[in-house]
Amino acid sequence: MTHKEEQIPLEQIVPDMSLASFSRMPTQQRINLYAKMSKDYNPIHVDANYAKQTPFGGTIAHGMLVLSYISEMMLLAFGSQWLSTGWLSIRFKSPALSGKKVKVEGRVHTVERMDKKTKVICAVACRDEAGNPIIIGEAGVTMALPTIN
Amino acid sequence: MVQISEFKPGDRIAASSFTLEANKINEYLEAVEESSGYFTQSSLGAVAPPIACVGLAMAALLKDVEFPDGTIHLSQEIRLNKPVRVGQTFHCHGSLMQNQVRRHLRIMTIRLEVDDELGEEVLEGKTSFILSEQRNRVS
Repeated sequence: MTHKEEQIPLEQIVPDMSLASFSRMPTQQRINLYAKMSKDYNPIHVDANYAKQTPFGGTIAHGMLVLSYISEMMLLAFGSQWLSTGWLSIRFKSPALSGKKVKVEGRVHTVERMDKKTKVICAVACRDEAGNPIIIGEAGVTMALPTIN
Repeated sequence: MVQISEFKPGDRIAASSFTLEANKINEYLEAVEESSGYFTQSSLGAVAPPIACVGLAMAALLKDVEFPDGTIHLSQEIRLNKPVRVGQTFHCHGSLMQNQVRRHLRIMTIRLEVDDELGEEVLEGKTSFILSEQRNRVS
């Protein structure tokens, strides 16, 4: 990993703190690329004619594609701790429509400080442009306290 | 191909293996507009995005299982135990936890476990889907 870690300092993590929010747009081109990568060619994702006749009225992004936005937000907030101690539990509440903006947001819910580690639990969400939930749930990490030599 | 609806709770899904190939990781990074800076160099040995690993594990595990068109992802749980790297090969196994029909909709939950070449579990997860019981294609 060559990336210089810039996660939130442990002592600054307090309940109610917002995680850095951002937006993404799952275009049809990106959905098609995700389908190729995952070999998930469900027509609800890649067949406009099929998807037009569903209640969604058009193609939708793969759930895992949208979930990756939550993972990125947690990685940006908590650095490599996310990769080795992270967990999430979410529900897909509504689809992310192709070509529509998705806002990714999170807020620290619980901070449990223990002897040599701190457990952090966050409320996480992806929302459409009107603020309706696409994904809601929780994600967390266990952060080790820095060692002093 | 096996129809997913034929599985009963407790049934194990045939184990499978997959490799985190650099080209697959690059496709993933482009598809999800990843910008954290952690994964931009997806060369051999580089740390790979965990959700890409979950996606490829699901694809490997369910490659011989047929889902009806229009299947929708309902919920997801994931626990990450150690970073995964480009070029590593993983062994994934899983089982069916739930298979229930409610008002023409089938809800299925699959448990997934992914181990590395050392036999250490790198991640585990639980995935629920909704499948239409009435028809395979809407058209």
